[in-house]
Amino acid sequence: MQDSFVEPLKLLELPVWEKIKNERRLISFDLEITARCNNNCRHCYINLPAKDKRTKEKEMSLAQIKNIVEQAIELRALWCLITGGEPLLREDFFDIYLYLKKKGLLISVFTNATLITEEHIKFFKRYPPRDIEVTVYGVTEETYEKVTRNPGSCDAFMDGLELLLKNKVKVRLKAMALRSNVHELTAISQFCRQRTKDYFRFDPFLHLRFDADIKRNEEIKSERLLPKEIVTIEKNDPERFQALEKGCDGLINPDFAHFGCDHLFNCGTGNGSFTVSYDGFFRLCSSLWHPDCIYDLKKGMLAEAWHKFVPQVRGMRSKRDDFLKKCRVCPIINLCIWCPAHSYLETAELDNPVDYFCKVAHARSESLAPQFRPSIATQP
Amino acid sequence: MEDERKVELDTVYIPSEDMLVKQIQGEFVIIPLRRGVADLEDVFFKLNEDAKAMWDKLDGKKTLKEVAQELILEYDAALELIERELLELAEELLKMGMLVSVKRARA
Repeated sequence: MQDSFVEPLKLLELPVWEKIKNERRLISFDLEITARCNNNCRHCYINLPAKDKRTKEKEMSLAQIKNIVEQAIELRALWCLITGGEPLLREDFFDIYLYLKKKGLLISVFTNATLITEEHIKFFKRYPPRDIEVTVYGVTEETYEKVTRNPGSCDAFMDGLELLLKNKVKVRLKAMALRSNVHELTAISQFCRQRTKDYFRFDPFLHLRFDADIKRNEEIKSERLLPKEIVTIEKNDPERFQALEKGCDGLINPDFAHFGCDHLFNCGTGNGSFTVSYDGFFRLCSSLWHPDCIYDLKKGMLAEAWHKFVPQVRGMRSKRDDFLKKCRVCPIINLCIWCPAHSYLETAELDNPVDYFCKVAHARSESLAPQFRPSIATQP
Repeated sequence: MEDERKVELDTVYIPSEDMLVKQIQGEFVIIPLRRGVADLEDVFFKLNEDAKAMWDKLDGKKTLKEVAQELILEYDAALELIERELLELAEELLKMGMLVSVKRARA
C-alpha cells in the first residue's frame, strides 16, 4: 500500500483533458430549460415572453430533464450549463439544479441575475455552482433598460449581483457589445473587472433568432456594430487582442484546413458537448437549429444522437460553389464567426457566405500585426 | 463527550452522502456535492487504488476491523499494516468530512 490515499485535484488536473485532445468524448452539455425571459433584450436570440403559455407548455418537464441527464451521465458527461432564456423563471429550477448536483455534475448557470433572491443565495451556498455567469447590459439604468426593455430590471440586476457577490457565490461577468450600450462598454468593462478579477469577456457578435422571427432579426441586425467598431473595441481591450493575435490559428481544425474538402463543419461542434433545447431537441451546439441537424430526444435516445446522429451531421458536405470557393478555403476563416449554424440563422441555408461576417473578419485580420495574421494555406 | 473524530477499529463508517466518487479516465475522483465538505476552491480529490478499495468497503455495515479482514484476502500484507492504513485513511477522510461514523460495534 502507498503513503498518500487522497490527493487534491484541480479542475484542470482532471485526467480527462489530455484524453480529449485525441478522441471524441462527451465532457459537457447545455440544458436550455426555458426559452422564456423576464427581460426583452434587443439583441437576444432566445427570449420569448415570460408569460408565454404555449412556450411554457412545450418546455421539458422535470422528469424529461432527469431522463436526459441520466443518459448524459451514462455517456460520461462531467459538466452541465443550465441556461435559457432565463433559467430562474422555471418554478422547478431548484429541483433541476439539485438533481444535476447530486449526480456529481459540475454546474454553470447563465442568468441575468434579476430574479436572484435570498432563497437562491441560501441554496447556492449549500450547493455551490462551478460558476454563475451574469451578463451586464449596462451600468446605468438608462443604458441597461434600453437594452432589456424591462423597467426596474437594472435595480433588480444590481441587487441580484450584489447578493451573489456578498455571499461569495462564484460569479463571472460578461457583456454583449451592441449599438445600444457601446458608448458604455468601457464603464461596463471596469464594472465587471472590479467585481470579478479573474474573468471578463465581451461579445460583439450578435446571433440571429432561433425562431427566425423576422422583425426581431431586423432589430438584432440594427444592434450590430460596424466591423471597424468591433476592431476598435477589441483593440481597446489588450488582454483580448493579445489572445486573438496569439490564438487565432488554433481555432481552425487542421483536418479541414485544406483545399478540395467539401465538409460543412470545420469547428469542434459535437466533439465534446451538445445542447438540449427547452423543448427537448438535441443540437450539436447552441446555434445549430437547422432541421437536419436536430434530433428529438422525446422520440429517441441520447446515445443514438451522440454516437450516430452527430457523426452524420459532421459528415455533411456542400456542393455550393460560392461556399467552396470562398468560406471553405478562406485563409482568415478562423477570425470569422461564419459557421454552418450561423449561416443557417442568417440565410436559411447551411453553406451561404454572409457578407457582414466576411467584412468583420477582414477588418479583424487587417488589425493584426503581419506576423500574427493566420498562416493557413492561401493557394489551392 | 465522545470525540467523533477519533477513529476506532470497532466503529462502522460510511462515505458522506455529500460526496460522490466517479471514475474519470481510470482515476477515482471524489466530487464534493455541497459546501462545507472539503472546502477548497476548484478542487476535487483523487483516491489511489488502495484507498478506492478501502472506500468501497466502507458500507455503513462493517467495522474497520471487519473491512481489514476482507482486505487481507486481497492484499499481500500483514493485518496490522492494513488496519493501520485503514485508520489513517479514515482519519483523513473524517477530517475532510468525506466520511461519517455510523455506530460503534457492540463489544
